[in-house]
Amino acid sequence: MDRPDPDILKRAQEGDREALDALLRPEVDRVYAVCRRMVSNRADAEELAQDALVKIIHGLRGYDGRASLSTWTTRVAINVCLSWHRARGRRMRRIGGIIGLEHPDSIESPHAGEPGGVDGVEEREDPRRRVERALDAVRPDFRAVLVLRDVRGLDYAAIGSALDLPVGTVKSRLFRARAALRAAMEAMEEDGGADGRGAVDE
Amino acid sequence: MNDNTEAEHLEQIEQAGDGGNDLPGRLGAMRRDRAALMALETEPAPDWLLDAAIDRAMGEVDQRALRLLEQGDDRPPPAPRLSTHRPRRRRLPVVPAMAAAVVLLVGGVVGLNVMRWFGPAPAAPEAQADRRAAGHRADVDPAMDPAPLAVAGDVQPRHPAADAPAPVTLGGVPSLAEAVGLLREGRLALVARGGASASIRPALEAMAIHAGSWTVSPGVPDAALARIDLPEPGRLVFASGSHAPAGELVHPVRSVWTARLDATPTAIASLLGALEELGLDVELRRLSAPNPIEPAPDAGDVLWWDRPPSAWHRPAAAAVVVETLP
Repeated sequence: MDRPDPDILKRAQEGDREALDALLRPEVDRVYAVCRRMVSNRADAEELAQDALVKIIHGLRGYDGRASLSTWTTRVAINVCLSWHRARGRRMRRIGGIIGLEHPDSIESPHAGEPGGVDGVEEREDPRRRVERALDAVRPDFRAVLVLRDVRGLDYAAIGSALDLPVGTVKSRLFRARAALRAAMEAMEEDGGADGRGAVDE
Repeated sequence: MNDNTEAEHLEQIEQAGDGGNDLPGRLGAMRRDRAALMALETEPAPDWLLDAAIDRAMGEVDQRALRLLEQGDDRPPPAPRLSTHRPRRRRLPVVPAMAAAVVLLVGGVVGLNVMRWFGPAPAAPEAQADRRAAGHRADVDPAMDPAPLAVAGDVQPRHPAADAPAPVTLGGVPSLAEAVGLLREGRLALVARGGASASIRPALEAMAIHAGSWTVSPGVPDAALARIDLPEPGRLVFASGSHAPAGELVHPVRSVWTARLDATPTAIASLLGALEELGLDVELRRLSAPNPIEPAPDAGDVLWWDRPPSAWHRPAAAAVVVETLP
């Protein structure tokens, strides 16, 4: 378990910029990776990662150094992303209600198709891109367990700690999430790789 | 499939699936999905990310966002300019505050009495009306009264508009650095377009509490508003349906608010960021003359000595022209 240097932690908690940099520099890629896999485009991921880092810095005073720093930062990042998905869902439903869309969640982000996005013919050929695209179609709470387990490599207990869930619930949710991902992959294969969007509940 | 625990039972599950629903095939596909998921590579975080987060967390102005603003880059800035740093609640020192209150109270009472003793006694309203009716102007210094002169024809009565100061017009777009100077001179305006006004005001009030360096109030005296010469809104927008049929092209509703803010780049950037977060397109504008809108005084004006010297900013006012959907 990674424990930060107590002196650096103390200085960071007091707002020392160099200490903050030293403490959080190793966490930045991990925080960004979680955000990048929780949303479908780079611009949103950057924004969410920054929000998460700000929350982490503000919350440092309450961090006593006994728990793993990377688990705690991952927990903050995943919760920032889940909040974003909830807010986005509400926004999409509101917009969908105004313009009469049947499936407002299928409204694409304005950044979809940007470099680093998940659109593009050549991406459909690549199985990793296909799974990335299918991941976008999975419900955020399912997506969170998949990201924490397979992208961050956390064990069940750490996932449970990050999501405030008992281990048994983590296991069952992970199974349902894998089934949802498979359903999204199959839907994409049936459509010739054209579309896997729309939240898959399974 | 998920981990070791599930792998122990995998064989049993696969055997159970031999009944014909292709469970083994499905489990194999899920294993492949997992492998593909684990093989996903994520690019490293951008170099600026941590610095921007520290800047923002520490309430500093993010230089990168400022550069983007000054370059007119309309991409969402990677470093939001609205500080989420919560102002620390400070306990008011009770004794100095009470002493100041007593001094103010005593000073006010003494001042009023001095004015009463030495100033001209105000006449009763009935007496004033009688004197006006009789053309008696004893309570007015003849040297200061223009009416007898006008009657005598020595001086033409001037049109009230001739005394009015020149109208204030909106000018070009300043840089953020220049905007601080303009704000100190009272010559800064913000033009915000988009959204619905009903939702903007409560959201801005909430954000102002969070920011701590600015407030926005919608009430502007008519006289001050009349001095600002705003061009007619040239564009048309689709009505949202509250005051005009939805979808009809109408002119946006325009209102002018007063922003009271510290004359610092941080405060300006924070206010800009707040307006943009509400979905408004905002631009800074230069006024041709000082803003006629005076900010309403608040408790901070009296209790400035309760703050640390770093927070002793002279508050300034900027006009905020808001054009919203009807």
